[in-house]
Amino acid sequence: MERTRQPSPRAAEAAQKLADEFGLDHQDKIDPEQIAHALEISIEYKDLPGEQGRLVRLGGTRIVVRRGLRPEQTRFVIGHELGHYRLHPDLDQLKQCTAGDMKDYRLDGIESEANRFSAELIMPERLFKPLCRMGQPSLDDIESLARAFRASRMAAGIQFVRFCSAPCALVFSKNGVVQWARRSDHFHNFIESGRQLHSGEDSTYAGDLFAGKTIVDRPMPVDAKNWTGFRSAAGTDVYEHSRKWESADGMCVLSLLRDRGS
Amino acid sequence: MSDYMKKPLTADGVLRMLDRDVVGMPGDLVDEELAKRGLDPAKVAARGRTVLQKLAMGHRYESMQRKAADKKRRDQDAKALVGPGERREGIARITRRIKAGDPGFQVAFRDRRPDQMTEAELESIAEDFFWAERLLKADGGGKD
Repeated sequence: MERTRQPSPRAAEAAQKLADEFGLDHQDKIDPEQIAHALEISIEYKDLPGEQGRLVRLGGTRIVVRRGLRPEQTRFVIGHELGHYRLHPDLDQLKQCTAGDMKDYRLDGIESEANRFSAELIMPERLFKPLCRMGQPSLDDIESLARAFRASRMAAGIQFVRFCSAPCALVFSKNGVVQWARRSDHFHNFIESGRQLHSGEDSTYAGDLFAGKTIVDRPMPVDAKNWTGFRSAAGTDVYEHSRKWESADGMCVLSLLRDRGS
Repeated sequence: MSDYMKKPLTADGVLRMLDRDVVGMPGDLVDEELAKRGLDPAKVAARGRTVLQKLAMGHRYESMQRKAADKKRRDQDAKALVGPGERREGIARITRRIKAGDPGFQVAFRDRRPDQMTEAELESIAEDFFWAERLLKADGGGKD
């Protein structure tokens, strides 16, 4: 599981600089499409099978966004392409970006940098961090922040875990298997990608959701061993708050874990 | 918005505001704004600096909105001037050049080359190049 490390400082600084250039001192003012237009970049929406967005930089710069995305996805895609525009001047004249590129949060690589840029532009640290000071966070807090900043749950969750003062982790699972997890600096447990989640013995609430069971929709204690697989974690509780939704390629569950002491 | 926020930001206005008991936003753009108006940031009280910063942020945001509206309008006007024949010919011309590997149209093709893409995919890419060229021309050209 990746520690939620500081984003590429270059990407964060560039997003901050852009926000300053336009006086974006409140989340309601942050509109990536309007920012693009003010930078003399045209925006177009069209059918783009297999892509989320494109940056065309031949003479007049142009961002093309896949038609039919949800508003928060559209904002993120435009922010991502703006990231390429500001950070990667040597790209090919037409750069195609896929859904996979939009989920790349590794520490290096241009897609990761563009994602960091987009996250910082839409959810700037100076506005977002002061709202992450709750001691016992739940998914409700993440969803409320996602609404306030018009961001996706996942993008807001990743940013939340970076800034939350309580030790916590965000885990995304699909079809019963952990896909990725991000943890804050002081969260003690390690959750591996590819881990199968169980229902019944060694169960997690996320595993119960995949098994079709109804669970309580609030943070509940669970044995940390059931998330980590480490026997040394046995007897240590973490609080888990999980919610599910159906996507085109299966059932997904987002879980927020936090240390019991927090 | 208070009255003082609506007034033009002049050096005199700033100096008057520095004496007022008002609360502004924290930030880091103030020194630049003060310097533009010939004021020494070191001599300006924190209270006045935060007011000035808030004013500067408001001005920048309004300027962004104006620029964005202008660009949107120019794009719409320019697109309205392009006839369907010109568009078709432009896309066909650029599609040919992409297929021929013209370095004037470099595309990050991921794991496929142009000869492995469908005609529709290539045309979609060519169309974006076409509009980028066309809108640049309408904007007066040369700016990237």
